[in-house]
Amino acid sequence: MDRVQGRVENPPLASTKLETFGREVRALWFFLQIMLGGLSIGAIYSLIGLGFSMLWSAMGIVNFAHGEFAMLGAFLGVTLMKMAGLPFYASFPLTAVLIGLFSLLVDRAVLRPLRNRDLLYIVIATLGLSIFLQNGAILVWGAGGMLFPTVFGAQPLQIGGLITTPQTLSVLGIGILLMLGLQVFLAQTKIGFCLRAAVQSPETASLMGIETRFTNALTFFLAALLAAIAGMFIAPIVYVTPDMGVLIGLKGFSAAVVGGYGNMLGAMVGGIIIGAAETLGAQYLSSAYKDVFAFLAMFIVLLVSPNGLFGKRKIDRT
Amino acid sequence: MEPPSATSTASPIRDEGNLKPRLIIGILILACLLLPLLVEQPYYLYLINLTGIHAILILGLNLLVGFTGMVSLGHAGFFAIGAYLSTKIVMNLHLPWILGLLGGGTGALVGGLILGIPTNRMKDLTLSLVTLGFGISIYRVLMSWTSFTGGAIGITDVPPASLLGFSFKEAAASFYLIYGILGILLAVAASMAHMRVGRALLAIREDEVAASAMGINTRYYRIMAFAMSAFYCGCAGSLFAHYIGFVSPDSFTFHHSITFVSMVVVGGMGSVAGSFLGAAGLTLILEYFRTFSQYQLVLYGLSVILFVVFLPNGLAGLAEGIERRVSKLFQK
Amino acid sequence: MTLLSLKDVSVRFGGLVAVDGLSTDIPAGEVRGLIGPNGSGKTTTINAISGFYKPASGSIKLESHELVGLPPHEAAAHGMARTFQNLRVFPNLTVLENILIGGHLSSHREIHDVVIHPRRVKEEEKNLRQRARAIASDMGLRGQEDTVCKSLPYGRRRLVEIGRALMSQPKFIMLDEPTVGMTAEEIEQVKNVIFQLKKNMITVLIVGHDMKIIMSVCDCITVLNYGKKIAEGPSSEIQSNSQVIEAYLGAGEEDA
Repeated sequence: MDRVQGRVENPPLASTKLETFGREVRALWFFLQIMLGGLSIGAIYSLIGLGFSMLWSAMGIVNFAHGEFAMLGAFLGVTLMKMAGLPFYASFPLTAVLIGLFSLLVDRAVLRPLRNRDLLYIVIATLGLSIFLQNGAILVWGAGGMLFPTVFGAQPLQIGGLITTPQTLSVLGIGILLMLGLQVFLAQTKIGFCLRAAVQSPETASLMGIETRFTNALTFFLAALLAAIAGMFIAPIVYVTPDMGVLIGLKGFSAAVVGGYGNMLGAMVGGIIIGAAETLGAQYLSSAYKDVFAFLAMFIVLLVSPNGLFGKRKIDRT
Repeated sequence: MEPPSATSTASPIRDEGNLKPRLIIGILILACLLLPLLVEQPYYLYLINLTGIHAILILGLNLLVGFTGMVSLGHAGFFAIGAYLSTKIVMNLHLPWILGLLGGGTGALVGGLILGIPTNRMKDLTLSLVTLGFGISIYRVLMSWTSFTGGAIGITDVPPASLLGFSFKEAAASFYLIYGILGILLAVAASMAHMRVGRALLAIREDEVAASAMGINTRYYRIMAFAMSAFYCGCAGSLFAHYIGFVSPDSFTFHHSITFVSMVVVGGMGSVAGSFLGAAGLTLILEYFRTFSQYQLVLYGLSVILFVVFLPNGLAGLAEGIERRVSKLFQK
Repeated sequence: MTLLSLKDVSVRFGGLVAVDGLSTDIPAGEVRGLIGPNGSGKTTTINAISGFYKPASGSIKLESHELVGLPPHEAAAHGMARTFQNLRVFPNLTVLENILIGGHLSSHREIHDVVIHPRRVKEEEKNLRQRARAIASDMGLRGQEDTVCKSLPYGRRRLVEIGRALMSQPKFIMLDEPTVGMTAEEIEQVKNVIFQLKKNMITVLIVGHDMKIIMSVCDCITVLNYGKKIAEGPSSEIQSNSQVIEAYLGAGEEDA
């Protein structure tokens, strides 16, 4: 065998093929591992994106402070667990419901007066709200961060050739269950039916006895609930800080838009795309530009399809 | 909640060359020339200079958001491009500051074209999101491309602006420079507002379909508005960098982008004078709330909300409404 | 001389054929009416002519310039103006501002002219405003020039829209349901405007439902049904045309 600068030249044929094959298999497993992580993150973004899409299709509004519900969920969750000593299976749903109720307050105070205004004003107002909530969180919990315990377990787990954690799998699993549950709720239950009707046509729905104020409140509540859960899911990864909601909210929003703003299935697909792009880019290209990859993915999808993947094309009736 | 009187929109086309605005402008110019001599506290002069820089930025952004109705939430990115490029041109290429100004502005303009052309088809919300992503991406680049931008620390010891050998180191000198440039850019924007260009942008904001039926090439004007607003931001960025003396990513965050847009709304959309009012108003509000220390930003966020709910036409609209009522009083 | 010529124009939306092989010639200076039951393709035809819809086939020529394939702003530049069925005034702008925007095609000064030819800019602006005020006055809107359009009653807003279209000094103007929501007085105003246009040899195409007006102002009327032309001629002929009557009665009662 020749050795040139440490490289092995002309090795025996058989072991090369096996080695390359082995390397390729490992690379594949590694890729799947990364993808799994990406899907897990994507599920989180989907949960937030679903909230955006629900608000848009049901009420025609955007809430740029939606990410803050995730942040508040994370803070409240960790507070309940650490201060009140509640086990996570109690504090999770409790936090989610409390944040949902809080969101109704927000809706009443900020969004109701702006109901019929131009979108721009709602955008600005909710951006102001976002700043307000972030700094309100600083007042309550301080500007430093808190550590969110990895409730589902952080010990590495091996499945096939990939290594993951119960946390990653649980987030992905519960996320999918929640989304499916939402779909079932909307499709099968009476309340869900009312919600869908109100989304399609508020006037007709109210004529049929469906109280749109109730459906609006319910929509808002559900959106915030999902956001709070998403916040608690992502908290162990990013460390609970008052400004964590900003980027999460934006990526969730991106997920919704990528999938077709207003489309629930789209929000889920969008989340996967954003999450995958971000994680793959961070791993294979550069982790510093993680966020750039997420937004780049969104940009590219929108270039190709300006209304999102499943978006309805608005026909401008002249 | 009903918006205040429907006739009180801020609009640049309203006056048709009567004497009054000329008189006001004349008085303002006089006041401006004397200002640095009257103000004693260096901190106040600093605020005034900062307002001037912000005003240039807001003016540009107003062209895009207020006039054309395209909401960009990432203009801090163009501000940053102008600031960093200008710094590099002066410090690394050892070229005179004026080239830094023009280079920063042009670089930002090119960025505006790169962002504006592909996004032309996108409707409002999608555009906001893409511009937001742009702003954040620029911030990331500022933080991570350490070899060029100095990373989180940024670049320090940025030399002050200088023209023909004269260095604008003193705050008073900077005042004249900043407001001089603001004056020129203001004149350009104001005349644009009164001409077919300004009207075309307003038409696009109001109803694109009708605008195109009137012969307005909406695609061209939208891209132009984007490029121009980026240019203004870039120029403001250059002035900012050489006035403050250092550049760091902390000045170009997503929060800044949002603040800029709220300045446009607070000042009055589509109002050239309103841009300055908005810049002044918000700079001052931020500083006023500083006295409440930790409550500063909470109150800031709250005041933005209140502004939007109660004063949708901004300060300029408020001023116009007051002016209208006063003149009605005199007519009686 | 033929001003507008449509040859075999068809507009499709997916599987739906909105306009089917429409051919017609409008001579210069004529006031043409375009009528038909709801959904017969009238507004679609106007949208096709003004460039908002692209016909699947056929040709549309304005004074020998081919319009098919042109975007709306280029089509307008050939001397055409229009109003909209759903009324598209610029709501937050005043009456004067709306009309001024209509003059976009007749002004040519750009930003750089402010520096190079400031006097010409001022001159052009002054002329534009004078013309705009004159039009506002013609439309019966004198005194309301500085009122924001969204606070005007519906009929007045329609008058503003027509004024805006006139500002571009078009050779050819299309009015889509111009008198909807107007008071009798405002309708008279519109009739006078149309007669004035006729005197100035401006060609007009009116889409309408108000038979009284159509019959009284139009020289010639084209009738559409399900996207096809079923009749064309002077109003006396159309009124007694059995196919036309059947089309309207078949689709439901129309108030004549």
